[in-house]
Amino acid sequence: MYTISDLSKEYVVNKNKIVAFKNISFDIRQKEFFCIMGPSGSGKSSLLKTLFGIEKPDSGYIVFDGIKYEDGIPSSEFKKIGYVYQNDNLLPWRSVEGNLKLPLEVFGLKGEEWLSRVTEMLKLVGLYEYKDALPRELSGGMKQRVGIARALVYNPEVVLMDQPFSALDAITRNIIVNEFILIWKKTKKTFVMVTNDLHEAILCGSRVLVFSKEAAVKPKIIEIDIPFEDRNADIIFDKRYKELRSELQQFV
Amino acid sequence: MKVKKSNSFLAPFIVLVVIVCVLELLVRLLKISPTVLPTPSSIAVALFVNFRQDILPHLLWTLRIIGLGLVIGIPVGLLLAAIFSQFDILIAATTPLILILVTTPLITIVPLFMLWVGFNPGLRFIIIVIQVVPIVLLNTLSGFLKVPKKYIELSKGYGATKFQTFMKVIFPNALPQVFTGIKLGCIFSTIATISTEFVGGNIGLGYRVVYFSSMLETELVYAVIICIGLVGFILYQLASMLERRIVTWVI
Repeated sequence: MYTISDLSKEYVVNKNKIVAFKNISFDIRQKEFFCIMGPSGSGKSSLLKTLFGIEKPDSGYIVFDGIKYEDGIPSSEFKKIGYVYQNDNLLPWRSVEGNLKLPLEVFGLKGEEWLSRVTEMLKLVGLYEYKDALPRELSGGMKQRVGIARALVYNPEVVLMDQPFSALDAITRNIIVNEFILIWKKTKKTFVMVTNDLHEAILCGSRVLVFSKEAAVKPKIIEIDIPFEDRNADIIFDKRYKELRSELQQFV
Repeated sequence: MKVKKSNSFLAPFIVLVVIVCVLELLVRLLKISPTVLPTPSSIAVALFVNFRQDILPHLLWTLRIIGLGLVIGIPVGLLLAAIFSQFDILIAATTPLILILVTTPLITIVPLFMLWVGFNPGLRFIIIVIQVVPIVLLNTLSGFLKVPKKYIELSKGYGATKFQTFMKVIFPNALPQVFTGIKLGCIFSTIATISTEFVGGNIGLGYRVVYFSSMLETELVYAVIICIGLVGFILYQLASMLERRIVTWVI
């Protein structure tokens, strides 16, 4: 789905140059659940936004869906990419249904088939009864689910998620993460998730790109070779899980 | 999930009744001259007796002017704000002028304006419009410029055009501010209209206040003032009601 080649990006904040990422190369395969993990401020959100196309890299190129882009992914490709924000980012004046319709309106996707997708996605996240509710009437977990439904409504090929569960309390988080893995299995799309939670990265990911807290150290790809049937609450007792966990922990 | 404000009508009403009763008692007990402060009851009587003939035509005229000021002033203010929001230079250049226009008491400008435009009462609404437009413009513009970055990011993420972003994000987000501007516009429109009627002309509620004053018909002076207050109050409440129906997402 993606081939990242020699990508670099830096910021200037208060006259200080901050390197988001430098000369990184990796690829993301179709239909996999790819996790990007690292401590705060390690450039992972920036990388995700570059994969989204709303930020452009300073150097290097990206191959997305078979086409090579040196200047970042153009907006014409945006309808192939879904994005789930850290803080839901729902428009407060639109109902749940209205928020799902927003990308369809902007992309010009009209007709019965798309409207029925709104219904389908709401049912997928279990919020169809709330379709007329305003965001302020929903809990944090519900709003995040709406965000997920919205990311899927225009049937993108890739779904990018920026720490989608970090704003939730531990209990809700647990529930939604597991729902999420089921949604991935059901929709069979490429998922790319940025997280700062070790457990989530191992639970959800088929592969994890780990950033180190030292900017000089190049991020590493670790394969999570635990079969997906075993990805549930009992995973913490799995031997391989513990090994992977300490491996990741050390790197970070 | 609607939050009902219980007794929000009853409480001010009771306070009003209490005040009126206290005033009635005070005026009678202290034997205050009716030319200075008539009893509330005599004001009420004067209001009812003279309403149809001496007050209503002027009330209707004043309403027309206020209405005209709003019907023209609000859309113009909104349109200008939409245009201004696209050009930083326009904003920087005109904001001081607009502020001056808004803060200068209208009564001082009216005589000048009458000199330019003449005494034709039909043209008076132009002054009202001049007062309403800046108020609506300033508030709406403030709303257009203060958009949370995350909503813009959301819009960008869908590759929305500037127009789409304006219609789907910037404008709806600004609606609370737009209504603040509209409500203030109602207030300013009322004040401006009465002010112009004070200064000159022979029709309108403001004029009636001056007239009854000069005739020492103090009960009627108060009666008309109460009418003016009611007009402003009702206008504001109508705008508020509209706001509550449209701006549903802000508590």
